Amino acid sequence: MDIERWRQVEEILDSALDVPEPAERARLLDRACAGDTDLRAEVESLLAHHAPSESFIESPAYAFAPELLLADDGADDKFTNRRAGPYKIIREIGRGGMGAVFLAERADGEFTQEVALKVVRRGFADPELDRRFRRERQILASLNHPNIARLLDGGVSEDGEPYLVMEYVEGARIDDYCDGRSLARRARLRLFIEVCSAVSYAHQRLVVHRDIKPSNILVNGGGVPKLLDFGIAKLLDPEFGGEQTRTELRAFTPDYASPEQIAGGQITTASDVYSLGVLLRDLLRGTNLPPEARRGPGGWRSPTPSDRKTVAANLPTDEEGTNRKGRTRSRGFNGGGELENIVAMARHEDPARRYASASQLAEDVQRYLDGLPVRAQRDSFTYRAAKFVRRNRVGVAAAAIVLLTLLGGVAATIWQARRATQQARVAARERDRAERRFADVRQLSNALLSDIAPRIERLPGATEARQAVLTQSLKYLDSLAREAAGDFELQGELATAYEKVGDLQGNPNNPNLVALTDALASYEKAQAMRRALLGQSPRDFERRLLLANNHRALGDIRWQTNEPTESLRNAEAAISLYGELLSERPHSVEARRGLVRSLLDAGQVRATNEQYREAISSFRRAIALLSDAPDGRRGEVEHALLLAEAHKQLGNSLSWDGRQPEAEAEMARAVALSESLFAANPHDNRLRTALYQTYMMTSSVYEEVNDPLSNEYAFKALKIISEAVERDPADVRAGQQLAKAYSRLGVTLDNTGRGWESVLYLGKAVRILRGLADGEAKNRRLRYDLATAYIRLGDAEYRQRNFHDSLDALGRAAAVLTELSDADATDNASLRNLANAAESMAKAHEGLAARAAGVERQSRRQMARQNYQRASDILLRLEAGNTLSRHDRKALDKLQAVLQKYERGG
Amino acid sequence: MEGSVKDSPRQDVTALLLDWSAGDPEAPARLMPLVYDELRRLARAYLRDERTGHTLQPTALVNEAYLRIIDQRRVSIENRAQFFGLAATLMRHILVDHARARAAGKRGGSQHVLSLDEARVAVEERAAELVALDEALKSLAEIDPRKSRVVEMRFFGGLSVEETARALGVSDKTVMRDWRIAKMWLHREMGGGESDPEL
Repeated sequence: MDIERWRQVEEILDSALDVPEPAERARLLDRACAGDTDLRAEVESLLAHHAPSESFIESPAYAFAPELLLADDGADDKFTNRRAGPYKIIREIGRGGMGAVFLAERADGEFTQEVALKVVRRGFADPELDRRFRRERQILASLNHPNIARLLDGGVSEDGEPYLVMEYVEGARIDDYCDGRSLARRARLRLFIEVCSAVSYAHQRLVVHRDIKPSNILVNGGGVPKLLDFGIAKLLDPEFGGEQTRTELRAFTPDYASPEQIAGGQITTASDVYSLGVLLRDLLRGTNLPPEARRGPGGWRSPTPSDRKTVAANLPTDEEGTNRKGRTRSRGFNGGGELENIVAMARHEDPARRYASASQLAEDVQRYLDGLPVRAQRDSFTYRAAKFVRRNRVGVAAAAIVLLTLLGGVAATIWQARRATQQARVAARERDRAERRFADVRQLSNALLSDIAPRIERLPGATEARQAVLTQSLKYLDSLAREAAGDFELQGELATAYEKVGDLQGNPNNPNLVALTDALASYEKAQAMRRALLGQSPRDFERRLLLANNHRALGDIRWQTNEPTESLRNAEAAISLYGELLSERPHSVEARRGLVRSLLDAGQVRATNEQYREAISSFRRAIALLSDAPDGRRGEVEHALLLAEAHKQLGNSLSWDGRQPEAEAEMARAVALSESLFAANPHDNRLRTALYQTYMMTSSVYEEVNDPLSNEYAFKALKIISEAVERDPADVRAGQQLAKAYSRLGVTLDNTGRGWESVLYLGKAVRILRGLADGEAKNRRLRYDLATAYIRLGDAEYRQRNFHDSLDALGRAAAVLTELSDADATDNASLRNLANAAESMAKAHEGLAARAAGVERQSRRQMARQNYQRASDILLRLEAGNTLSRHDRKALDKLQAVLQKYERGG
Repeated sequence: MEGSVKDSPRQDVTALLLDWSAGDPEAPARLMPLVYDELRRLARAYLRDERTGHTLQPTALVNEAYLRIIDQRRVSIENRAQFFGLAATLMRHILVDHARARAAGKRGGSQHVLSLDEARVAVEERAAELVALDEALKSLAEIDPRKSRVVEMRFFGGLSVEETARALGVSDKTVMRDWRIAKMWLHREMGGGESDPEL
């Protein structure tokens, strides 16, 4: 059409559009076109294409312009030679749903370094989220493992887009690498084990990959597999930080994603174990098909049985990897062998039935390589057994009781026999036999108390079984004790048994708080016997030593029950007894170490009573005693452990006394000692715990002066204890300690002005404790710890001015604490914390009142006042019971002042 | 970043715009890359705002580019319209370039694209529409350059009828008529089905 003709068309069109009525429009067209049928057809065709109002042209291109621009950054050649921070982009090397990956080089200094730079196709309008992103990034950057491509850096480009900088790995996808080189199965398995070690390393640092698949694992020229994008999927998840964005993009690859991941459930380390299982399966199938053929129209698909057949024929099985087609394999993957079991276990639908960790999966593969039976087969039994225990806690407890009753019965019978034989003075042979059997029973009983009971103690969910064992043991001991009058030997045995029961009851990690009073009773029964025995022979070294030990333990329990005076009295009784014994026998290691331990105990009580000078001299004396120890003893683990403890306690007291530089020097000594101890015995859990505790206390010493080193040590504590959790996920105590480390980190971060991070870590502590507490409904200590963690979280949220979140956490704390204190009237600790929670809630309500107006403001103030009142009432109740600390008394004064202000202010 | 627009480019852009008004034929070509960069940058910034619920306002982008890179004390309202017109052309280039690259990328089979990425499907469709629109606008420009410009300004530049009229130096009514007819023409060229003539 030429311009002239168009002018005609346009003119007619214009006038026709002004006439909407069809008949009239037809008449107009007749007139205007005047028989020119081409013209008429052109105009009518255009009129027929009157664009519908929803046509895309109606809304400006802006409606989707940014989407288009950003979706396509990767293809934009203009990106080349651009810069992101100090990095210069060289070329695009890959693209994913979340953004593009470029090869870039750092070009701001003397050195140049090739890196992979990932531009993230999303921004953070919310500064809170942005900070959280940075924090996560920092955690990822701390992953330092030969099989993990390191996250080196990150920042925001000039275009305002976040980018991540990763180690650049030149290599082939692991599956292509294996197939391209026709790698033998054993070589594939060894590669796989390396991959597992990287995953396990990251899991220990609580980082989940979330997107393990062949394209994320490159094998470099040296044959070293490297995992890419560790934890990146989480950073890129639109729900990161709980926020829901418009585009529902999630990073995972269907075939490799675990069922819970696809269902949108919680993603844990078990999800990575699943993906590893898929990877193992695919590596073993080792298809030689071109990559395109492996992908169906819907993305990835599993190889079909016919693929598998091809594979079976092509996969070499021997070490050299040479082509041995057609050779029959005895333990073929397709033949339902052990590898298949391993894959099946890793890929189990139920996360709980998968390998507990990537390292367990690797171990099993290693066992296969070593020709050992794999765990995967046996595990179904273990699983059933564990499930049985879970389902039949009562049954398990009953079994323990049966054992005990049996013991009790046998013991009583034998004992009777023994007495009878004594009275009758029958043949020595028979008496000896009875003695031997008595000794057997004693041994069994000791085994029960010192081996079996502690194991039950560590069993998650076995609170009732623990309780049953202790109750039954006591019944047995009490019945023996009634008969023991005059039998000194038996009294000695009984005292020891009572003390063992007391240890179990009074163990600071014992899940049952109430048992402390029971422990006290057991130890006191034992003490009465020990005194009676000592009365028989007052100079007996052994008996004095045992009495000193008893005093020391009683002092410890009294300390836990918050009776400082009684505690100190016992510790000092122990100190004087041990001191006497040591002066008599300077080489007695029991006396020396007993003295050191009681000095440490007494020092702790004094430090808590704010008698720092006395505490410090007590700790110094302990250190001096250790230095005076005979040379041969100093190399012993126990010695070093006590020395570390003494330096640690001394440092703590110095810090409380305001002598910070000296305190820090002592902590440095404690850290050095504990670290070298653990380094020399990396499998000793007690030393691990000691190192963890040293880190925790060092963190708290630095916390005194808000030194950021407090964060660092809390982080070290977190690291060391998370390794313990990884080793034994069922260890409730390690789980508790992990939560404490998170909690400490949360507190120190809050103190050093990193409040939002604090909230993050306290949240983790809460989640761990909630998980543990859910598993053991009757475990008071766990629920107490959970409540404390909620209070800390609530306080941290308060300081972040997130008053609603603060109230939520505090409300949960209050609910747990109310339940605990209602169930046990003597539980003052829960009550005191309930007062704390109420006070914090009051403050949060005040915070909200300040933001509100009118009726809401009034009601918030009303709620604040009620909570202040509640806190004050609780403290008054405690005061009436004479259990108010100096600190609490001050808190009570303050509360009453606030309430008076409310009174006056209306 | 706030500091990325320094004083000198701002002066450059303004001077170029003035040169253009004064009849310098080279000015638009030199102005283009500067405006282009600014528009791209702003488009990204807008995406982030949009994620928090803000909707992208049509004129906002061009307006903001204008505010950022033109020293307004030195230019008149006519210069502004001129600038807007230029910005609309540039937006068309930017968007269509991207749309084409997308279509090409699709043919080349970018292997890392995840199939679940539904949002991208919508973008693909839009990209195809944009490329078709660009072709149709080129044909339209051959027989009626002004109508093609009107569409460019309204659709790609997001300019209002008034702004378009000022940039083109025509009346509002003309812009409205052009817009109405151009849409019919484009709709037919781009293969849209016949619609109810009553509309």
